[in-house]
Amino acid sequence: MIKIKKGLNLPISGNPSLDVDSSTAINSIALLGADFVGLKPTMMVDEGDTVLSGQKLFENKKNPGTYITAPSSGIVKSINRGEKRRFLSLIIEADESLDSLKFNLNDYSKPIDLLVDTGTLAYFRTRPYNRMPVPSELPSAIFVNACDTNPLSVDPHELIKLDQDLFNKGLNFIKSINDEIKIFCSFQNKDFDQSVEAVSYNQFEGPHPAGLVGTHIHFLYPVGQNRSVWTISWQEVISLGYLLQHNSLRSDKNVAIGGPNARDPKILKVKYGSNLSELTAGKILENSRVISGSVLNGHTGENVMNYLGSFDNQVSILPDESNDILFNWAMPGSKLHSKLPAFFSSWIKPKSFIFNVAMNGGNRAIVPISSYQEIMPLNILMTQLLKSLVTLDIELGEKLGVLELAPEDVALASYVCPSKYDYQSILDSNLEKMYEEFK
Amino acid sequence: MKAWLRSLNETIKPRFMPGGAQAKWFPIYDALENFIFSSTHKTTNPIHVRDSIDIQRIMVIVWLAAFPAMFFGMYNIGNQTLDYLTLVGSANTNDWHHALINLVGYSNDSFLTKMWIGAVYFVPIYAVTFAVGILWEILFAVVRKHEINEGLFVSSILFALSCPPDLPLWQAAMGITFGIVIGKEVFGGTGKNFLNPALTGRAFLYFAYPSQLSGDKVWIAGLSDTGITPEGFSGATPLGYAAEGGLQGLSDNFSWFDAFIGNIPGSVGETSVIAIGIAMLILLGTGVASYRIILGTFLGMIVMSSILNIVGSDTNPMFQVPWYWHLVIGSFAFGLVFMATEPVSGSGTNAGRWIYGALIGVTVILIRVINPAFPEGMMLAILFANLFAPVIDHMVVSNNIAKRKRALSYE
Repeated sequence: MIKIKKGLNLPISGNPSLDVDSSTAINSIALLGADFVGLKPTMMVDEGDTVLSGQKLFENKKNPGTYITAPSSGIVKSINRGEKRRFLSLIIEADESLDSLKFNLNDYSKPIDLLVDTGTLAYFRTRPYNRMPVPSELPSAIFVNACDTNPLSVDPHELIKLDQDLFNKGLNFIKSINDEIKIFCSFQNKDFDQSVEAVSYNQFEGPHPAGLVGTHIHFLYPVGQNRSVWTISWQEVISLGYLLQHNSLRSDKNVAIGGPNARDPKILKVKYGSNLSELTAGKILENSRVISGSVLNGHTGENVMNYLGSFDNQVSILPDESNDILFNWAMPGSKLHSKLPAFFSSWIKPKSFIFNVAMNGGNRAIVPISSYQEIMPLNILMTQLLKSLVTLDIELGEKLGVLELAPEDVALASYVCPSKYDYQSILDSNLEKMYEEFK
Repeated sequence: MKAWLRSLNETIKPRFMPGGAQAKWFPIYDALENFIFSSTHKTTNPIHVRDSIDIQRIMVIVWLAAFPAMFFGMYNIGNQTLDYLTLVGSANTNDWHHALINLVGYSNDSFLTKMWIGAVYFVPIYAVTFAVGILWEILFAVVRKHEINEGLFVSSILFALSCPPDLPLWQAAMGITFGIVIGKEVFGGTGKNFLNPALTGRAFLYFAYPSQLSGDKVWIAGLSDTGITPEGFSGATPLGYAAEGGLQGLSDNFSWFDAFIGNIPGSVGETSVIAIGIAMLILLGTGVASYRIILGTFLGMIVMSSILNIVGSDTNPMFQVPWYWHLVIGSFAFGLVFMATEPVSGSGTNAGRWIYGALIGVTVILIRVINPAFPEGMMLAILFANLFAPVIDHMVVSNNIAKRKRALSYE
């Protein structure tokens, strides 16, 4: 077992229970461009077309021969683009009466061909760069993440248990991609089923980011310029198992809904890419911000982005308000959370806090307080790394370990930052520049 | 009240926004708004919750932590001055301080009188420091279109507390000007400075106006005005005595306990180890200061002074002074808690903070004991270590890079 000491669990109220509710009706789903780093789509469908689950929607121009497919059948309602024609989202009106495309593993000479043809290659992401893999460049290891330490998450073990056969089937399939590839599977609960052979199971324990795959990779099989791995989360492993079992894509997934403004925090069985208004209807208080993903690293559900992200296993509901306190700098702050024990709350230690979306300060230059290092369990000099990110010094950044990280890994640094930087977005642009220079 | 302030704010805000009549002065408005109201900004993708800490609160904590030292300092100015005036028997000079002090009178030996005398000397220094400092901050903020940083609260109080009570006010203005402009703003402001701004200003004064900032006459308020020094009274600080007579000279004139509680002449805020100790507890308890720097400095000082105690010297009596005296005299404690721990100009790595602290501790003893030119070494030791901090960090970073490389050299 690997014990993580540094890190931070946010004590947010509204932790989800383990009740699974499959009654939510979803009629609108979408695929979001932001989920696929570096994506340049060549559309294979038009607005108004009827598409079947598993049908190819677009090819990634930057990565020819890889496709994104429809997770559910329906009619393409709109294809939305933003500034400079950047692809934002493709929205589908789901139609349950339509069939799904059938896939049979026996039709393919190699397992990887099945992944490419069904679009399930997009279930994987590479580390470094956090991008969709290239089918011709197989990794030396694949990391299956069956942990989740994000705020308001549930231990995936509880949900995997319900689909254990599918999960193990998926894991066996991943193992079959190539014999040379090492398979790592990380988990939290000691009762986790470890029955698939030739898979290296590792238990991780400790505060967030103990459950992030970046942490697992660092301790088990560190990556860099010369070594690349693929990562996949437990949800998609179950989906792979489902594909093998039912010969069609799994259109549903289990998503945790929680947060201070969630009426009844629990697990929802909903469609991949569900419309967030439909997903949360009647389940949240007024004046809420609906976040696809964790409060540390997610996107607000609004406009053409009002949909569940492809890789998001949770929806977080926060009060959409900031704090209104006069002379806040002189107030004890018994209800305000901070990593630094500079508030009265650190001494009275409430069990949970009602977090809201307050920025809690203005933008300033970085002042290197100790918090940055205290939330970073990896052997990374965090303050120096963050400074290299801010100055876009990719040479130094590479040496300090930027290639080991994805935006979710620096989310806690953004959280504790008294100067209110957004290190995730900054890391994104660093990784993009590194990808251009190094690849 | 809150609603009224809010609505008032909403009325005047448009004037300072882009396109408004006073848009140029937005930084001033922004600073005032941040002072009164909590920030109303909301988080954006991808991070939706933020720690409640901000630079404002961090700076205010350091500022408040300096208050015990400030109040004790004011009391001590009065205390030292009254002791001295009793010996002189008269305080009739033309200095404006005395006109103010005469409102209360010199004869009354009460706590309040002492505080009043201290306030008459210290408050103008602090007021001038703050006013001049904020003027520079505003000027730079307006011209360079950045926000006014709360770091000035800290720089100004620390600068004022590190000055002798008799400092001419124009020199206070010069000092803080140099500290803020050269020590900080030319490099881009708080967070980008490589020297401690307050210390930079203080060092400027020390070298530019040595007659007002060194010697025996400046550490007791009023002493340099009258020019009458009573027989048997020198006004020298413990460091002065130590340089002359070593441990013997120290203990003949002061008890260790007096030096510990701060009942000695010196710069306004530096004398009381108790008041500074309270600040240390606040800064460590709130996580604002690094315990690594404080412990490193402390250990460096103990080790170096003990080595010199053992080595000994026939000609230099400072060699005998043990570490527990070094702790309570001069500005060691003040510099240790308030100046060395400044995170921006100090070392930024955890390992580096130990080395950085130890370097300060060793250097301060070397300057105090071995260098004949400067009786006090804390200010110079910290500035010296400030200059070395990037080198120290570079070594720590290189070491980390080498280690990471080994971990990544797979086959």
